[in-house]
Amino acid sequence: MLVIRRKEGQAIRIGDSIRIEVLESSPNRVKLGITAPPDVRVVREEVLLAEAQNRQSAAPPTETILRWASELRPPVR
Amino acid sequence: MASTIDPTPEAQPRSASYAFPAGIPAFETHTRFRLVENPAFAPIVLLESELDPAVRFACAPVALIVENYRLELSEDEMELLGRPADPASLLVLAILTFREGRPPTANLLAPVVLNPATATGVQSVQCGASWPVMYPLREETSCS
Repeated sequence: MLVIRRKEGQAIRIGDSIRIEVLESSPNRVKLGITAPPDVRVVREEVLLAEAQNRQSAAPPTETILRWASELRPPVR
Repeated sequence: MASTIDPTPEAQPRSASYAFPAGIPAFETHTRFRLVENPAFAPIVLLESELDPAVRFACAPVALIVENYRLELSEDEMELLGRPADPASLLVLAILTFREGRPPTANLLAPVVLNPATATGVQSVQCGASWPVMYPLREETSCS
C-alpha cells in the first residue's frame, strides 16, 4: 500500500483524470473532494460490502428459512 | 359445497407493498418490494421484489438480534421515507444470509428501514459505523 501524508487543501492524483483533495480533517474523520470521469464509479467501501452481501442473501430456500425461524423464536414461558 | 375458513386472521400470511425509490444495493432496478409476514416464518419476514419474486430476502428485526442498535439516517434517506415524525414507528430489519454448514448472519451494516405510514423503504448503509455486514446469529461451534 502506498501511504501519502497530505494536509487540508492538498491533493493527490491517480492517473491523468482522478484528483482527490483533502477538504477538511479532524481527529476522527477526513472530508475528501473527488474529481473523476463519469465512467469511474466512486462509492464508499461499505456500499460495495452491502452490494456483495445482498447478492449472497437473495433467494434463500424456504426450508432453510423455516428451520432458522423456529430457532430464532423466543422461548414461550 | 362446504368450505373451511380459518377464523384467526393472524394465521394467514399478511403482505404490504413498499416503494424503494432507490432500489437496494446491487438491485437498484427493483423499486417495489412486498413485505410478507407469514406466521410460519416468524420472527423472520420476507422482502420480495415485485419486479421478480425470485429476488427475495429473509429479514429479522434488528432489535431481536442486538440491543442498543443505533441507526443513523441521512437527509436523503429521511426524505425518501417521507420524513417520519416518530422514529419509533419505523421498522428496522436486518437481511439474513444463510450459508451451508454455518450459522446464519445478519447484515447490521445495511439495515432495511421501512415506514409503514408512507409505504416507503430504504436500505440504509451505515457508513462510518462499525456494525458488521455478517453478524453471526449464533456462535459457531468449534471442535475441542
